[in-house]
Order: sequence, then structure tokens, then C-alpha cells
Amino acid sequence: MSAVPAEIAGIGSTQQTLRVSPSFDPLKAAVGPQEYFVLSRIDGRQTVREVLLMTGLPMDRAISIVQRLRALGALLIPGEMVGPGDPGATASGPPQAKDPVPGPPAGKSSRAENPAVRGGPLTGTPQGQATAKGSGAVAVMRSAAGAASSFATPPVLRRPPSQTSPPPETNHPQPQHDLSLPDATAVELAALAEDLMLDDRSRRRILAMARLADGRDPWALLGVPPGSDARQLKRAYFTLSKEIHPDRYFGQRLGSFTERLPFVFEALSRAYARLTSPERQRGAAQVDKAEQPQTPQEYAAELFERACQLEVSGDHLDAMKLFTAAVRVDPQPRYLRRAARCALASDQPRSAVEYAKKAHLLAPNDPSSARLLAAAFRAVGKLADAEEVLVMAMAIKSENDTLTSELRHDLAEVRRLLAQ
Amino acid sequence: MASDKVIGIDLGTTNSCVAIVEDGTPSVIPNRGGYKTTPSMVAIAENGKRLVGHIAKRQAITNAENTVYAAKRLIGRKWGSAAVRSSLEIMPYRIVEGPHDDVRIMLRDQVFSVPEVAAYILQEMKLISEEYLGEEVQKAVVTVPAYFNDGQRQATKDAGRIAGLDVIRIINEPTSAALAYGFGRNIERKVAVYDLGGGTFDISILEIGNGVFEVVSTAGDTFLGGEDFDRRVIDWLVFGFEKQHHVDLRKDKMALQRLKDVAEKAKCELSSVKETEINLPFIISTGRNDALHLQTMLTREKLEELTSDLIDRTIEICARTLEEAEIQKAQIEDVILVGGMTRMPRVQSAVAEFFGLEPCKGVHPDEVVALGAAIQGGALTDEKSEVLLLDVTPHSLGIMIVGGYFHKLIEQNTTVPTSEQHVFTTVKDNQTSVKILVLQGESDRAEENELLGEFVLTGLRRAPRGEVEIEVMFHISADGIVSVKARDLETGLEQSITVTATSGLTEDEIKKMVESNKDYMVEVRSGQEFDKARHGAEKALEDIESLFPQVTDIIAGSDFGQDAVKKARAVVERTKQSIAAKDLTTLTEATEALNRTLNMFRGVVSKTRG
Repeated sequence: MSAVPAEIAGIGSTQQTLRVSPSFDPLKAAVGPQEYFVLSRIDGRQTVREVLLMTGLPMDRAISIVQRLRALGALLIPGEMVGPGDPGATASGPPQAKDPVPGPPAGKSSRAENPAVRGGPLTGTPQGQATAKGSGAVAVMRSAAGAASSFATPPVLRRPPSQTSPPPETNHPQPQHDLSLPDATAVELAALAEDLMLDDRSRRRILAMARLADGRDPWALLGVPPGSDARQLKRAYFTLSKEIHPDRYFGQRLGSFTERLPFVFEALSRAYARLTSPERQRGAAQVDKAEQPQTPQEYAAELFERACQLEVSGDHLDAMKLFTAAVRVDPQPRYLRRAARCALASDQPRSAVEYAKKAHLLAPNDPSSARLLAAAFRAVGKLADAEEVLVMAMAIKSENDTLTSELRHDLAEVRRLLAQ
Repeated sequence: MASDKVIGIDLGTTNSCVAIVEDGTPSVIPNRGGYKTTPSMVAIAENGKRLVGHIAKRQAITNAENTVYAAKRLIGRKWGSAAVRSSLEIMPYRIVEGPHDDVRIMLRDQVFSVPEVAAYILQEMKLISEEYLGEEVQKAVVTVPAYFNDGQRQATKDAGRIAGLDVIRIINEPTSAALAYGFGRNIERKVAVYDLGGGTFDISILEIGNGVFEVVSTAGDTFLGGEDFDRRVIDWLVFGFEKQHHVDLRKDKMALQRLKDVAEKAKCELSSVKETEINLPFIISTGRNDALHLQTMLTREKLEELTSDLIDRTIEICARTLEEAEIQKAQIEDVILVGGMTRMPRVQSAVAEFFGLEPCKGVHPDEVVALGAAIQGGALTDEKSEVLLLDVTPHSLGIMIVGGYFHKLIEQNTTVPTSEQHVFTTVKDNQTSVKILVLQGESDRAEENELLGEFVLTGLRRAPRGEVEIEVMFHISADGIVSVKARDLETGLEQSITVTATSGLTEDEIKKMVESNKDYMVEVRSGQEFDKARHGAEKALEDIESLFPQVTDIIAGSDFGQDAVKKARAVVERTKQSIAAKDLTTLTEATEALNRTLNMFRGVVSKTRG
């Protein structure tokens, strides 16, 4: 890619920051997709140089697009209120805007550093105030424009210095949406053309976000790369909220945006909640665990082995904990039965019932499952249930005579207890 | 001339405060007496004149029965509520029942609604700001405790309307305090607001960054505040006096009012001194031209002992809130104390101890809430404002479903605006209408929640139960206004309400409605417990019936065959009975046994086949 020139004809220094004219209507101007794209990169924060570099277009092509946009009145140089191509342009425009002369006036950069002027939101002419209220981006743009200005009348500070808004944050990327709205629908075009006090950039942002509001890609809706961390998500969420929350347009006539604004904001806050919820963070942790080479079945088998050893050694309580863990990973009837037995041995009949129920559910015709469940029911005093299970198990013929006699013995015992 | 300016009003239980943002700076507007706060008191004097604020407070002792204080505790409450019942005992003024199960206050034979009384205070605040600004003020942002429910918020809005104010927004007190704390500062951090006011306690967690104030979680207790601390002191005084003189001071309303004043004063003094003398001469007449005097010492230690459980309760709520929001204490970078009660050293140390950091000293606990309200007023109307508040709904919202259960559609602490929808179905064959009861609260039982409104959707197609689908949509706007819409998915027929006032139904009435409207309720298409249990049970019943002949054949020969069939029949009967009884607990148990039997039946059949 060729180098960025220090200045370009019709614009001036590539170190200055341009912004989009609020009165510019891209629909009437009939610009193409590339122009739209470049226009969407101009956010009042990036310098011309940065914009030219980030378009990815050949340098001469990028330059000619910026020049064309400038000629169409889409771009404002710092200090201007209305662009040159605009029919409504008045004498308030600075001289170099009317007569494009290459080369920046001297002393610009030193002025830009003047802290007194960097203050905060500034009031401009009535036209400046007529731009959409509430958009943080617009307010910051205006302040940046004022800061670099060498011709505009001295700006008026609205707030004492202690109340200034935070300076534009440059240490983190702004949320990105495709503001060019490729293949815009008739509804979208109509929304862009509505006669409202809502600037084009905000409209485009809202429309672009509405396209992403279906919840399929929360990252894209927040305008951040997938996998961004909590801090990046929060910043994007806050930045976008400041642009599209209905409160930012309180009491204003919003046409079709009256419905669209809350709709988009709700989708945004849902996406944010989804991406930052503790479940998601836990989910992420689980994914990490699953990346271990062992399969869950292998892991469960290992836990089961260790539990068996503990059970043999008489440590029923610890054995049960391990069986429980094994069951959680791989709910096999065999594991469940062992867990139930350990629970009974370590005097935890309630857990025993739970495990035995599950085991019985998975292997209803296994008499040992039935026997264990009956024992668990007995332990919690549910004798009728115990009897029922045993009777059903007895009704099913089993090849295992020992077990049958055990069941018969258990049943007799339960019936004796019931009779008491 | 009318002004576009928006004032911020902190309508407190004991004191109120008004503020405004001018030239980007929020400031409190002092009243005529030069005070920055005005007592939230309204009285009717003997000549019928209405007195508000300091004047009302000054004559309170001699006119206790006609002086209203702490009306905030009653606003938006129902006559039958516990809150009102306990107020009946302790308030020296007469509280009577209103026509819609609401609360009225009787002052010199005149009956006032609670919003009316609150309106007099708001009107006073409006006047104070108009005198200061030299122009008429029409718009206001008014604060309420975070845990106020919709009815209490609506009643507060009504009060504004009566006072001639357009209340453009109701915001939560702790949120408001956070706005004042973070305004104009370039900070990015998580903060906790501990707000212990005259009558309520609130805790809120906020995330602040780039001018955005996001409420993460909020909780509280609408019946825990400075008044409770006062009452502990009063009780202690009354008890001590009774022990000494065998006279119950509580029976004398005048004495009670004096006790209240002195208790509050002593409590405040003990924030700066270690002990204070309580001296009430001629507190009560003994009838024989003789009077008794109350004289005692109260130490800070004693006060802390009397109120330690109240402070503990606030800390418990803090812990629970953090836990529910899954936030670690260590993540909180600053704690803001709001409300007069936070001047008490023991409160400060308890908070510091719990959060492990010294609370922020930069905000004025009595003024910070009004300042925040003014800032929010500016944020809504000033195009240049860099402030955005992302607020949440403090209570869950949903509808009542069959069985008297509460089905939540919007969970508490959801950022507003928000909307949610869910499909429900009919509960009866040929049911042609459904009643939608809109509820707010956290309990699973419908009658334990606040009823916000109700409506009926009629003209449904006659069809077997569960076939007609009704979509219910909830929306909460940025203003906190709840609207609910129900739509027959087949015909597209729609009914909707916007909740603007409480219907004034009591718990009992809701309970009665649960009974009488059983046939007109909706049920959750999937997921709700009883419904789900019943569907499961019915499926299992069907399956087991189809297996009975086969299984009976197979097991008839075995020793316990006849027994087993009998048992299985019993289980089937038990399940059918619990479906008829609509009892979830027994149904769950019966279904479990049924499934167990069914499973074994299946096993028997497959084994024989195999």
C-alpha cells in the first residue's frame, strides 16, 4: 500500500479529524457502496490518515473517495458547521472550505492541544444544536472539531471545568457495525429519509443493529470481536447504550424509530446479559475442562474405582462422595446402585432413595435395583412403597434364586413391619 | 412564565429535598427558612389551615392527631397490608379504610388520600423551587425507594399530578445517589449504595463508566429505617417508665409524640456524643393535679444494643444481594452511604466491616438523592447531557396460571426497557375465554404477589383443552410503565392493558379469584409444574392401561402375580385421584410410583418377547 500523503487537495492535512455533516443525505447524493463504506468510517475521532489506511482500498482510490465525499458536502473540516457542497451552506463556513487550497494553515496542532478548548461538550450555532440530541458520539465529535479549529469563533463552555465529560476514549476500539447497510430494504431507506431530528449516523447505527437483533450473533450486535472479554463487552454496551437508549431521545419525535429504538436496545441488553451472565462464564469453564484428554466415561470409571477402594476400606461417606461424582459424570445403574448402598451404609437414607430410584428407573427389571430401592424406602419409613416395589419385583420371574429368596425375605419383613 | 427546567425531588419519609441542575451544576434549593431539607409533614391547624414542612413540625406536639408524618410508609399500600396494620398502632393520626381497600387519613373530620398528603409536600417543594428560580416549574423527577412496587410508584406519580407537577420519571433513591456521586467524574467502577433512610432500606449495586450508570442489582426492605430505630428507643423509654411508675405512656398520644421527638433527637445526638440526657418534664398527668417526669440517660452503647438486630438485618440483605448478583465483595470499589441513618457510627462501621472498605465520604447523605434526581431530569431533557441511566425492574412480573401459581415472564433486575413473551394454553375443553391476572413479586403463589391488573380475552375457538394457544406479551418501557397484551394465536384476537393504577384487591380477594376463576385460567404450554406433572401422568396412565392385559397374562402364574396387579391398579387409582384433586405434591408422588410400575411392566413385556 502506498504511503499516506501529508495533505490532500480539497481537504488539507491528513492529520485532522473529519466528521459527517448532519445535513448530508446520502440517498439524495447517490453515492456508491464504496463511498458509503468510507463515509461510515468517518466517526469524528479517527484522523483522515487513519481513515484512509483502514478502508483497505488502494490509497489513490481511498483519497479520491474522500475528496468526492467532501465535494458532495458530506464531510466537515474542523470548525465548519455546514459543508461546502450543501445548498444550505452559508457564509459561516470557513474560507478554506469554499476555496479548497492544499496545505493546512499554520499553528493548527498547537491549538489542538489547548486544554482550555478541549473542555467538553460545546454549543455551536443553532444549527449545531439542531443535530440529534443525546448521541454521545455527536457531542464528542463536536468537541474534537472545536479543538482542532483555527477559524471558528471561540467556543462557549457549557459546564465549568469540574463538570466536563470524560475525554474521548482512544485506548479501546469503538463498537463496529456495518453502517453502509448493504442492500438496504425499502423500509430501511424510508427510515433514513424520514424528516426527524435524528442524525444519519445514529439512524444507520440503529438500522444496522436492528438487522442483528435476532439474537443469533450477540457479539456482532455489540459490535465486538467474538471472545471479547467482560471489560470490552461492557464498554461496547455502554457506548452503544448512550447512542440508542430511548432516554437519549426523551420527548423527541422519532417517527418509525419510536418503536425501533426500544426494540434494538432491548436486543442489545439481552445480548449483553447473555454474554456476561455467570452461566456463560461457568459454561466457558466447563469447556476448558472438557478439553482434558480423558473422556467423561473414562473419568467416571476412574472415580468409580477409587470409590470402590474406599468402600472396601469402610469409608462409606467418602466413597459415596466419589460415587456421586461418578454418577454425575456417567449415570450408569451400576454406579447408582453402589452410591445408594454407600448412602445407606453411611446413614443417608434420603440420598439412598434418590440414587436407588434412578438406578431402578434405568434398570426396572433388575431385581437387585428393586431390592435396593425397597431397602431405601424402608430406611425413610415409606413401607408401603417398599412393599409395592418388592411385590412387583417378585411378580417378575427371576432366574436368580438367591435373589428371589432375598426378595421374599425382605417382603415378609416389610409386611411384618406394616402389620405393626 | 413556565420553565422547561426539571427539578429533582427526594420525597423522603421524614424529610424532603429539592434540587436542580443549572449551568451543568446540580445544587440543592434551600427553603424559605434557609434549610436544605423540609420535614415531610402535613397538618391541619385548628382554623382549618393546611400547614406543610417546618411549620407543621413545630406544632406537631400540640396537634399530634392532626399532623401527618411518615405518610410515605402508607403510600400505595392496601388497607389490609401488614404495613398499614402496624402503622395503625404507632401513628398518632387517624388512619381509616378507603373505598378501594386503600388507606385514608382523617384530619379534623376531613378525609385525605395518601397521595393527596404526599402531594402537599411535593407542592411545597415545587413552591420552594419556583421562588428560587423566579418562574413556574412544571416538570420533576421524583425518587422512591428501590424496592417500591408498581402500586407505590403509581401512587407517587398520582401525588405529583395532584401537586400540579408532570413527573417525567420516577427513579430509585440509591440509583439517584449514585448519579450524584458519579456525575462529572471520569470513573469506571462498580459501586454499592447503602441507603438507610427514615422508613426504608435499599441496597443497589451499580456499574459506572463513560457517563453510563448501569444498575446491576437492587434489593431492600420497605419497612426498615430510622423510624424503627426511634421506636426501639421509645420502647425502651416506655418500658423503663412503666417499671418505675406503672404507667403506660403509649396510651397518651401527646406523650407518645413527645417521646418520638426526644427519641429521634437523642438518636441523632448519639452520632456525635457518647451519651445524652433525655428529659421530658410533665410527661403525663396522674390525674390528681400531679404530673410525672421522665428523666434518664441514654448512651451510645445502649442505643447500639437496642438496634443491633436492625443493622444486622441490613447487612444480611447486602450479603444476599451480592450473592444473588454473583458479585464478590472484593469487586465493589466504593460504597456510598445515603440517608440520615448512615450518620450513626455503628452503621458506618458495620458497612465498612462488611465491604472491607471505608465508605465514600464525598456525598451528603441528606441531599445526594435530590441531586441525582435533578441530574436525571437534566439527562432526559438537556441535549448536551453525557449521563445515561440504565435502570432495572426491582420485582419480577408475570401472570397467574392454573392452580394459583405465578408464572414469571420478566425476572427482577432486568434492564428496562424490556419485553418478554410466552405461549399459554387453555385448561378446559371448549374454554372460550381466559383471564389474565398481571402480577408483580417473587413468590411462586399468585396470591402472595402484588396484583397489577387483569383483563379477559374472549372469543376463543371451542376446542379440546390445551389446543388453543394464547401468546402473552409483557413490556416495560424506559419510564417503567408496564403493558401486557394477550393474543389468540389462531384468530389474532387481542386484548391488552397498560398498568396505570392498582386495582385495590386484597390477598383474600385474589385467593377467591383463584378459586372462582379456575375454569378461566390459562396454563403454561410447557414447563409449569402441575401442568407438566399432569401431562406426564396422563401419558403414563395411557401407556400402563395398554399394557395391563399383556402383563396380567404374563405374571398371573407367578407367586405374587395377583398381588402385583392389585398394587399396580392401586397406583393407577391414586394417580387419577391426585389429577382430579389438582394437588401437585400428591400427583408428583403418585406419578413417580406409576412410572416405576410402568417401567417394570415394560420390562416384563420386553423380557417375554425377547
